Amino acid sequence: MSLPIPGVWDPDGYLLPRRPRIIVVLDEHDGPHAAAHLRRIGGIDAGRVVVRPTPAVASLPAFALDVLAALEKNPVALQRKTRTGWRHARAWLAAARPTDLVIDRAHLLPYALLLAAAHAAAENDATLWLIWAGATDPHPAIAALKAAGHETDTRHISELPHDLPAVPRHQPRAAPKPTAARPMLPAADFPLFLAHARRRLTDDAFKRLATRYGTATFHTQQWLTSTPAQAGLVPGGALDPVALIRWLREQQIGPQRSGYEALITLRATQAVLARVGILLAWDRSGLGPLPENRLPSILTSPLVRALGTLPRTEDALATALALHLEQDGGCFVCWNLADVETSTLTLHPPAEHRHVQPKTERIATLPSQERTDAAARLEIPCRHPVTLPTDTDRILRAHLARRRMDGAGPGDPLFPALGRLSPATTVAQAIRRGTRHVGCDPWWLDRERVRARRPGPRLITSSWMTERALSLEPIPHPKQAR
Amino acid sequence: MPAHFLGLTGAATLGTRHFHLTGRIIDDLVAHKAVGVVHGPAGTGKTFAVDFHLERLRERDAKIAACSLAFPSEPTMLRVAAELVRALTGSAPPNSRSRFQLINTLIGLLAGPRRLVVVDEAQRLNGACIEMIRHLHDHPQTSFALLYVGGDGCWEVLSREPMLKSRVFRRLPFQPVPSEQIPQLIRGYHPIYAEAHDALLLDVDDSYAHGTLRDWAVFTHTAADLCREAGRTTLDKEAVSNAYMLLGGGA
Repeated sequence: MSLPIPGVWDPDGYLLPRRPRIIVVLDEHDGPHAAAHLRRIGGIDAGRVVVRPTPAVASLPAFALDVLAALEKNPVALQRKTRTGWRHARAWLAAARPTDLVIDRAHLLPYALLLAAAHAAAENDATLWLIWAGATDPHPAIAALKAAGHETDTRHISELPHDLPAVPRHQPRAAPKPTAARPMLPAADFPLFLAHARRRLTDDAFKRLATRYGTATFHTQQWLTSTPAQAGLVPGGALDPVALIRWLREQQIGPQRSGYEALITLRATQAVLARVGILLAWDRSGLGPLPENRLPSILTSPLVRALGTLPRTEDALATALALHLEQDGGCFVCWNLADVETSTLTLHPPAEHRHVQPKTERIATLPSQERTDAAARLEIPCRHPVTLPTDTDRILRAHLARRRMDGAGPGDPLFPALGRLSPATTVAQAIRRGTRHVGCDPWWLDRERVRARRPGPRLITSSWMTERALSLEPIPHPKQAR
Repeated sequence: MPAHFLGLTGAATLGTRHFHLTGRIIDDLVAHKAVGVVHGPAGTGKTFAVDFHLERLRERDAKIAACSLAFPSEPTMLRVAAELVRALTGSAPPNSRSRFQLINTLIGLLAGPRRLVVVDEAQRLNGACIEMIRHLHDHPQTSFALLYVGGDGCWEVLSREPMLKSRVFRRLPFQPVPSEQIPQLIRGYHPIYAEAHDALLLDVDDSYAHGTLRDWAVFTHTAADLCREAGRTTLDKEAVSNAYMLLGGGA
């Protein structure tokens, strides 16, 4: 009688503890049922990774491509076998956190690849399923696995649907009811925005707008009252805009899904900030015909998913950061592994900095208003906490896993130098590969366009705020203004 | 309609049972994206039947893409993959493509419109090639029907691979036409046979064609020319005798 599978309920209703196991599934008739069932057991989101090795795969770099393909990496991006391919595969596997790693046609793989798969499964506390088809004797392979310290069980293919059940198919959602076309929002600035909206919109449309406006107002007030530091109001009245910029980018405006939602949120935020003496100005004149569409973050969920199909973890993470911050990666070289807080997806400022100082970073010597504007324009991301969107967690975890596999410790850089290239060049190349992969072409990555737009010494020329033509300045108190 | 042997003119398509079953099998494979095998001795009409019904399929439903390919003796897996790319795209894959890239290219191509892939001379494939084709057919992203066509020994070769034998949905072994069916069948094949005696037709089959349709095509080509030169419209003993001499003496 075969032992029950760990991680499932036993007849007495107890959940058995999971431990790494290798299960050889015997399919002596080599029928089509195994392949058909594997199509139904789900994918990464169900905790299962199904590897379908390319026929006649014989080397670990080649097998790595198959594992990366199983992890939904874009096969076009997997240009060739590399020595680091298997490490990338293990890193993405670690990020996927599978409970089951299935190798189809395992009987055709060399023992070395079976051992590599066993090691990868054990690293992730996953059960390894080896689908063993045909009349090939599995015992030599089982002996090789045992010699390497792995215990195996065997099952018959008829038991596979019970042992590795199919994932229930989700009923397709009914098509959403067509919503009314969103009305054109007034171009008025924040003091008159609501009044103009009430005059221009229908009652229903204004009601919806007012609800969203009220929510944004509430969130802004909540943020302002949470802590004085977060409010950006430090003792003495000097404006520290960094926390405010971060909040705008990561919580208030950046995550909005459309320009329509972002504009309403912006106007509400401006109104609340103005009451506490902060002018969040928006110069829409240079942003094109639909300027509100420039407000939300360009690092959208579809873009994150596209980045997740990159095989190289540094490409995915560096590009995600660059698009999140809307800067090239000049400052990314400062972060070490110890600066990364995975639970909150936050990169904290390092103790020491390695970025090339921009020549105009003389913020402390500027007058107050210029200083504020300069800080907004020249955001140095490594000087302050940066929190990535939640859907980038797999990308971050994959890269951290990859760095650990490289032998990196807490004090080692998040983005190390590659070969003879400098760390900054390595990051720049990673971002270029990543943006090309997702079809993004930000102007601030192109030196010629940077020179044309911002002549002068090479410096941090873009930031989340400047790309949206947003700026911050204190509103002088009427008594101070005299 | 596919051309008859050596461009034989005036010949009709013989609606044998196997001919019609081939059409049914192709329709079934396309409907279920399944695997099928059509096999039999050389000259029994397999390729003609398959080509005829592929044309019918293309004319009936332009959304189904059908492609045929055949390989030289003992092709390698890479050769099979490259020829498949060529059959699907019309051009050869770049030389620098790795096996992984080539197979992923094929997965992409075979994930597209409804498709039937016909592999002729399938008895030339080895286990590695069959495994590669199986990999493509079983892949969750692909969606195509697959028909293996082969001559002598084809089924013996293919059935040695459990991964293929277990996946065959339809199989049609072609056989030579039984002699009792010859007179009625052949009389409809070419005008020279319309008024010919049964005994004469049976003699031709017994001495030369032996139920093989290609051999009947060869004989008909020869006999039709002889009848035309002699100003005859019907096959007779003299034409048969003269044809035998041109074809190596009959039997």
